[in-house]
Amino acid sequence: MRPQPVFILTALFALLQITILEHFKFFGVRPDLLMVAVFTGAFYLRLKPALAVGLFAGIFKDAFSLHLFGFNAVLFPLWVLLTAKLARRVSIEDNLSRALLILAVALLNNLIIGLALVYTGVSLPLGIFIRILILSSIYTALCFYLTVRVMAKWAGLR
Amino acid sequence: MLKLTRKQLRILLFSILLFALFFLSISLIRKPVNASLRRPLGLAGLLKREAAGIIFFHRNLMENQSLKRENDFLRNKINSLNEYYLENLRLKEALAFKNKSPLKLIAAGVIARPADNWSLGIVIDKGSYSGIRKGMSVITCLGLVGRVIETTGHTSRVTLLNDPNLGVSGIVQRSRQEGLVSGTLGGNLIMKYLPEDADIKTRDIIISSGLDAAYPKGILIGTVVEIGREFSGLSRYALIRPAVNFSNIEEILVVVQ
Repeated sequence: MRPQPVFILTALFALLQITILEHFKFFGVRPDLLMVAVFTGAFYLRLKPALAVGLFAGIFKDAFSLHLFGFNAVLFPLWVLLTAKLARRVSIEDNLSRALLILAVALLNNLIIGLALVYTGVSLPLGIFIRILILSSIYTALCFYLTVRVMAKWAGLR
Repeated sequence: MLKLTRKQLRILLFSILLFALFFLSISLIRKPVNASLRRPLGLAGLLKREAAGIIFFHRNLMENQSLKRENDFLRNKINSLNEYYLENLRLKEALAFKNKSPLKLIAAGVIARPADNWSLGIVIDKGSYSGIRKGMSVITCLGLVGRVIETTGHTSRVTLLNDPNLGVSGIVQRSRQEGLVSGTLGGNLIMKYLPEDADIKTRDIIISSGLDAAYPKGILIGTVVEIGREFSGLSRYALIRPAVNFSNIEEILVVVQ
């Protein structure tokens, strides 16, 4: 499919992520809309444009994160690459399976970032660590599910 | 002088009386007449309105569209004016605080927030060109907000007080008990390393101690909501509800001196 709708979605989500998403917190956590955009790209674009979306989203997220610069710029394209490899071997056609895959990847992504933060000396209460880890991942997966449904209607994603 | 015969006078008086009676009776008969005419008149009015609606359909349609546009425009204008009004109130409050405060402050607006869940901060619209430097503390008229961790020419990044990377030396206003206040990424702050016999109670007010030199002394941090024992059992901790609601900060003040 044409990459333009996904590029527009990524730019829009990047803007939302750093502005009004603060008001859509659920139990103190926000969804990772940039990851939603990355996976929309991974599922609906060819590898090169999807990697470009992943790299842009990763750099953007790192630029607007206070700690750990560079993690997302590496992780996001990596998830795109692994998703593309997986999609070649296993057919993941329905949105629910895709959302479940995102849930797993978001959990892994959050776990890596969280553990890296703890490793750098940030003391996080276990409850809050788990809350961010789980709720943020679920929230992200739900947002992905909604996004692809909306995009299917508006931009004709298949 | 008009001269009237007795008969003429009688007729005149009778006429006046009749006239007066007629006017008096009007008020009495008005209600039943109105009530009986209400339905036919209403029906006539309805027919007239419907007929006018059909005859002037196009004119009404155009007028309706124009009024809808005007309505949308006015709604937008009211919304933006309301936003300006609220901003004006906030800025007035900040200005009053700035004028009263002995600190040298620079006002700035919040333009962005971090993109991840693992850090809490804000990006403000003033940077090194406005005199902001790394390490300066950030406050609002309600209390302490955080600290500048990075500046560019026109923007700065501020770590909020509820970020676990930030620690502030705080004291209990009542008993002057010291402790280290840091964030938990949650809604509350935590005051750690309190000795077993620390004089601290719920609803105590916590202010910055000024000991770490990064933050001016006496800035309000929050109120104690819970006191507990550390897992090790060696010290106690206090949960503090911050004075500032970090999720809806729009304007802040950077302490320059």
